[in-house]
Amino acid sequence: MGDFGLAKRPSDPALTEQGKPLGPFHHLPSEVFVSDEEPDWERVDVHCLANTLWCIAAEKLHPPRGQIRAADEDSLDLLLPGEPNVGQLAALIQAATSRSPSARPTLSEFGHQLDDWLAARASTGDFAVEFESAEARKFAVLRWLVDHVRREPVFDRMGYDIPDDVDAPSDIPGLTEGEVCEALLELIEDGAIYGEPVHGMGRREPLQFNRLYPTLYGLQEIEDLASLTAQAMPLLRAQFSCATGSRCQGRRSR
Amino acid sequence: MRDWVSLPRSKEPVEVASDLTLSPAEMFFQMWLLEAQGLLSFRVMHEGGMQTSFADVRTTGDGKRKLYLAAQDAPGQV
Repeated sequence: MGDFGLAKRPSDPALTEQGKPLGPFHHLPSEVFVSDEEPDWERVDVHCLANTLWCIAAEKLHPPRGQIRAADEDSLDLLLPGEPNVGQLAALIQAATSRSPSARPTLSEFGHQLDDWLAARASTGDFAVEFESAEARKFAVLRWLVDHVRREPVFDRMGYDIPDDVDAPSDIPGLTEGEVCEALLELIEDGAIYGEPVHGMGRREPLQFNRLYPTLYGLQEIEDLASLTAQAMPLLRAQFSCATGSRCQGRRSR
Repeated sequence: MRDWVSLPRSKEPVEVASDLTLSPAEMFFQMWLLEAQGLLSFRVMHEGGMQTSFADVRTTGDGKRKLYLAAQDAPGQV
């Protein structure tokens, strides 16, 4: 990565104009636009560097707006679940894109933490790296399951077949069917999802999983439970109104 | 008092109340979420190929308390 400057592209429409904020709009942190005081440009550069790194890793033209939190859907932890030690990189990007400039690392600290990540990534045989990769895969499978059951009318009867070719790519980006199988088994064991593995004769790995659904504990791992409950309050209110005889829309019988 | 809810296994939205429409999958998810927190209770009555029915769907005491507290914050909701 490097800063190639602006001088070679004087006709670039994205160049900073007189009276406009300095730098590329999509990469700038909010203090450049809203602060009356001169921003700390080193912390601005850290923010830009972090979301540029995100763009390169995620192969996107522009970064997400604001802080890229490690547990959010656009986190590299979720986008690249097969990448060794990606949680460490996602945490670094989260810190470096903090809304508060003082919460961001300095450029020097950012460099050291990137070096640490690269060193950890290089030692792929290390237990910690393997563990973190497995955690990232479980995280990706859990989020996929929650999204799936909220979109598809499977209710709590969702099944998942494991094909013979466990190296085949699965529906979950970046994961093989074998990795999904392993993640589902561990999520059940952790109590993050319900599910019934079905084993075939003479086969150690399950042939399929039945009755998959997240548990409340699992849901809390990836979603804000208070926010989800607030979303469900209109249903509770409608049910209460229906039971008391008002505003019921033809789904009540005696 | 009994109350029944039938959810079709389709993606067509269902009208829950005059001002609330949800897909069956999302409605089940929300019912499950409320039930898991003790705010709503129900019994699964029938699981057929095309739909699942729930009986005795009712707001629990904790659910009523939560609605009451929510109404204090936003009067006129209940």
